[in-house]
Amino acid sequence: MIFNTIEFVIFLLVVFILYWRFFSKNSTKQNGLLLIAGYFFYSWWSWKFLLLFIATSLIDFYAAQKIEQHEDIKKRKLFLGFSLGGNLLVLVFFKYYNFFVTEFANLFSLDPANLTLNIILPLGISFYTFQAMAYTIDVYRKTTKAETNLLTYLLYSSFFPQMLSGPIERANRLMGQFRAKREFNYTQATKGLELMLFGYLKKVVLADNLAVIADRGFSFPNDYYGLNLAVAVLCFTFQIYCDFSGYTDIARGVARLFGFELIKNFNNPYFAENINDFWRRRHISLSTWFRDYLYIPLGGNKKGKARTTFNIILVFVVSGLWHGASRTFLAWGLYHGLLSAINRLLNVKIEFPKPIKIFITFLIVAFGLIFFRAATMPDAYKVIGNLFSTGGSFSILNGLPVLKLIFLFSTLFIVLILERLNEVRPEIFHSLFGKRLYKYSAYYYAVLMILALGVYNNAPNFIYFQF
Amino acid sequence: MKKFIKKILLFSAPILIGLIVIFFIKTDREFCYNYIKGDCEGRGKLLYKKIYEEKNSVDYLFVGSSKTWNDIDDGLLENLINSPNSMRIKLFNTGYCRFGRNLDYLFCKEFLKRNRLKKIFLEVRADESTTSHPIYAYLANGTEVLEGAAALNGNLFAEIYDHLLMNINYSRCLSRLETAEINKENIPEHGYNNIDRILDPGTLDEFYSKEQIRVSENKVDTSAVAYRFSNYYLSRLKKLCDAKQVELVFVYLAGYANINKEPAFKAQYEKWGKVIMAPDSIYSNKTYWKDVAHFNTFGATAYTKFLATQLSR
Repeated sequence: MIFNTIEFVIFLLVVFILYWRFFSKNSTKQNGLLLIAGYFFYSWWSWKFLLLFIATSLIDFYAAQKIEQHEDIKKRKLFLGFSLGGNLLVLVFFKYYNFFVTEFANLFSLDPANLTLNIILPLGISFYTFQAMAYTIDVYRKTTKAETNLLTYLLYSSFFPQMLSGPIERANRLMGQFRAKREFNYTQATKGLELMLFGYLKKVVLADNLAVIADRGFSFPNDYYGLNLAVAVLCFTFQIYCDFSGYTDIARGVARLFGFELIKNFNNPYFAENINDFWRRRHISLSTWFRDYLYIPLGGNKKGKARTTFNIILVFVVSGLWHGASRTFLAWGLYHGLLSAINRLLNVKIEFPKPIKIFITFLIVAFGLIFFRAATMPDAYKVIGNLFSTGGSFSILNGLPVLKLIFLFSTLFIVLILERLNEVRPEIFHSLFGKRLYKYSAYYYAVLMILALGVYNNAPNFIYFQF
Repeated sequence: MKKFIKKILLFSAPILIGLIVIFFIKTDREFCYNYIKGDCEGRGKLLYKKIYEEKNSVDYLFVGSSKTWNDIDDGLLENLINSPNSMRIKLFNTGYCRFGRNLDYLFCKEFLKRNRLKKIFLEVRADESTTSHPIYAYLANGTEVLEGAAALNGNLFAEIYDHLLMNINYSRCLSRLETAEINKENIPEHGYNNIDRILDPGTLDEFYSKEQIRVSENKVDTSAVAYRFSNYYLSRLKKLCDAKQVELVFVYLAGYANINKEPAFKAQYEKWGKVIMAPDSIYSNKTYWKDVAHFNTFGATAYTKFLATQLSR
């Protein structure tokens, strides 16, 4: 089930009413309802993969119990290996088998068609696998207690607002909320709806309309040059932000409706002052996951410059592959790894004014996204080649109504500025939107834009659902 | 919680009112016929032209599903019935992929508004339709969509949603936030779909044995509540024909070998009009089929010639 469908709206309404009207006095029953809702939500896509999902959840639950029961380090490692191995086996098979087999076949001039399998990638596998792995590693490190209540654990692994595309939650943050008694909180619920509304604005108005322009450039890289492709690349840069942060806002808003707080996954990444700052602001739950469970165990920055450089690059390459099993994602990861390593090691202190630093970082990030968006590496090279060539007239916006473009780009501008204002001058932001007139004007503007510009037909999927 | 619900309702009220207004706005017909989601090979534009641009262009109207579309060659039939006695009867085949009596009723109503029809030939099958036609929400107006409630239309909510989305899109076009796609290229004169592929006889034999078992095991219960849907629209169609003094004729179109032999609702149809049934020899000819349910060019020609003999009586 996808957030931007009418089915989800009906589903949410039913679960919300049942949750607060009929189960409000018993948190176990509320958890049971959310678990059933989560499984229903997932099985809407495929009930067969739901069985696989439940099986891996049960393995992690019992492995964590066993890790905690044993003090012997070998046995603890054994059960940790059992859990991580199970998760990674499923992830590698479904997500990477065909990629690695194809690369292997190409290396030895074999026919990849004889080796690849017709595999369907389970929805959200990268997200729920990483969340499960974080849990068992935390239990192994004794930074979190193993959950003894099966219902609570299963709910942790299948909480429907975040199970498909995160944020990747840590056990000690979310599980505690599942154990606690919940009471309906008016402010939290309205804040949840507010987040959802602006999440939908970002997704169905901004991301899905920007996608039309971005798709033109990336689908026909031979037909566009120079400014045309620059506009396509910029549109994709904002599309992916609005798509994923819009999804996260909806997920966080839905969670609030049920009395839960999810981690903030974005903090104005396009206002970052350098590439490391960018990664502290974008997809925060994944960045911190890689920091805590890969970068630091590899030695972090404690083993000399060469090892630090290697660690940084490796983490970004793995992060690239986490997004997708293809050379383009590998290149995107490598690009960011190299930039991050250079930024960290050289520690260049050129004092540009802040806006210039932000602008340069933005351009670097936008350029890297060419690899992220291009279907193949030759396509990416083509886009880069044509980006710096001239030819043809400015035609990438042809056929799109002028009024629509005005509303689209002005809404994008307003959203970015308000988000930034909320970060740097929260007191102004809150005093502004503390006033009813401004608050309700913003709400109705969002609704009006969703009605006037929203993309509903064949509701386009969230980009991060494919990961 | 009460405060929350109250606030939500208050906030939503103006939005709901706005949506209701949009739901009932009078949408330009050309926009609707070009907007159809899942349009059957661009037939929307042909039907628009015939209904709204060519007034008094049809005398005999053929209405039904893809069976009508594939099985009745309206151009050939027009020539056959006009040439011997120099009559000037104009025919049109509105057959549209998939089946739903509400769409049949809608087409008849729209044609009747603009044409002095003499006869309506309505396709009937072994069984009646129990569900709405998938494109009905795009061609009906708001009131007609809601009317589905009286016919126990199981797709009512989906149709309300589809109709609303179409009207939102239309409002966007009016506000210059979108551009309507109107395609007027390659519009044929007649509605028949000409395909000369011959289906492999093995597939026909396989279908025959499977279908015989299915038919013997599943008898149509003509009193089932699900048939209220088709009955509602057929009754209205009959009343409309009576009011406009148009003869309603039922044309039975079977699949390969006519395993059911006759329509389950034949008695009902006979109360309302003549039922035309072709001989089994047409249905049993293995070279007449493009698939198990539709004639190819040879089958359609044979069937159309049979129809011509019936019409000239």
